[in-house]
Amino acid sequence: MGIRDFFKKKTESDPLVDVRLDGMKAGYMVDYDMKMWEVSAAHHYDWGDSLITREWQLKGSDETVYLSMEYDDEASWSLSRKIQLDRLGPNVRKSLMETGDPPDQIELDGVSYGLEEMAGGHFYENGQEPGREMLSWDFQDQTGRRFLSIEQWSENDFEASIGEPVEEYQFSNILPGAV
Amino acid sequence: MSIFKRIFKVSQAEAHAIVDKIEDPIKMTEQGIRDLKRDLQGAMTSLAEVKGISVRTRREAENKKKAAADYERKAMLILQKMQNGQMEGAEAERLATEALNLKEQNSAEALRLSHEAEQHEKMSAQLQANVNKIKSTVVTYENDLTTLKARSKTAAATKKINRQISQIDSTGTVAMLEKMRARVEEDESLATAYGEMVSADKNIDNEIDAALASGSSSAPSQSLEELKKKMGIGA
Repeated sequence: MGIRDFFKKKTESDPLVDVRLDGMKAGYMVDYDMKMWEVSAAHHYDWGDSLITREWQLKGSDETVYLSMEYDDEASWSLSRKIQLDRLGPNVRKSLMETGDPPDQIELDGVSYGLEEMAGGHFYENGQEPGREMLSWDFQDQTGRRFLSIEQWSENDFEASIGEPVEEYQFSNILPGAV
Repeated sequence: MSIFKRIFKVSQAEAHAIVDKIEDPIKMTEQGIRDLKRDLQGAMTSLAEVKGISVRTRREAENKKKAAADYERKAMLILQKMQNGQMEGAEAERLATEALNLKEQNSAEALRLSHEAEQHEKMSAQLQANVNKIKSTVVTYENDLTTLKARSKTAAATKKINRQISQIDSTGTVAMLEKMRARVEEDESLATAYGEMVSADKNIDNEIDAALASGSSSAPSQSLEELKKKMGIGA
């Protein structure tokens, strides 16, 4: 530490300003849906063209959910839960293995989801380099209130998740973890 | 009281008076709010730790419950195998008993962890209430400070203006203004008088010129005619 560092004004963090949903890191706590959740990881996806999806893994007492945020003029938030790919029916896996793509329509629990977009990107676990290449297919139901996502991580490694849009105000009591 | 004590008291009073003078209440309040925020940050971090323990304990309790249910399911499967003749009776009963023992152990552990989690949840609810109280206090203080800063600035500006107004020598200035007004009025009167005089002179001249105009107007033209004749210029 040099003499300049000694005199450099220290920037103190302001707990009223700095503790925000989009500033959460691993170790933070947040309340959602009347439950306490621990932020166990903070990842991000880079889809190219400066399009970034930030993702927080939230662990509750009985389940793990994923909170995502995309910024396009304004922040849009969504919450998803992982499901078994087999729940989507045998045709989905078959289509993925044979054609490399899922079908354009997928039925799950009586809800029909239509393919919205397919994208390739890089996944940064806890923001760490190097990014892991992956593909993603996003489906939406007719109301646009429910979505389904399939991600491909390697030739035979697929993951599926279902989710819904959420609002920032639904999350409260954000607490910073000990650094 | 001894003389030394009195001297000390006087010095103390003077020192306090000096410190009072140099103390800036706004800066002191800002520092107070900064200190409160530091305390809040600490309280929030501690609360996060308690909540983290609470969530993890509850999760462990859930896992123990699941494990207990799993051991019970295994014990039932063993007994079913025994029933179907797929397993020898004594061995099946031994394994089923072991599974049930483990089920009991896990159930007891789940219960203990649930109680523990409840305690942590109660504590975190209490701490959360305290943190929320500190938060709202800090916000109130910050808002009060902002308002007071604005009021202080307005008051200072008003004070400055009022002092300037009050400091003006009213009699001297009024007298000066009156003197100036009188001079302006005097100048204006003088200007009007000169103007009237000029217009009066101009009227007399005009009258004289008008009287002469009728006689002299043909003279230049007659002499002109004579000159033209002399030079041989025809009309």
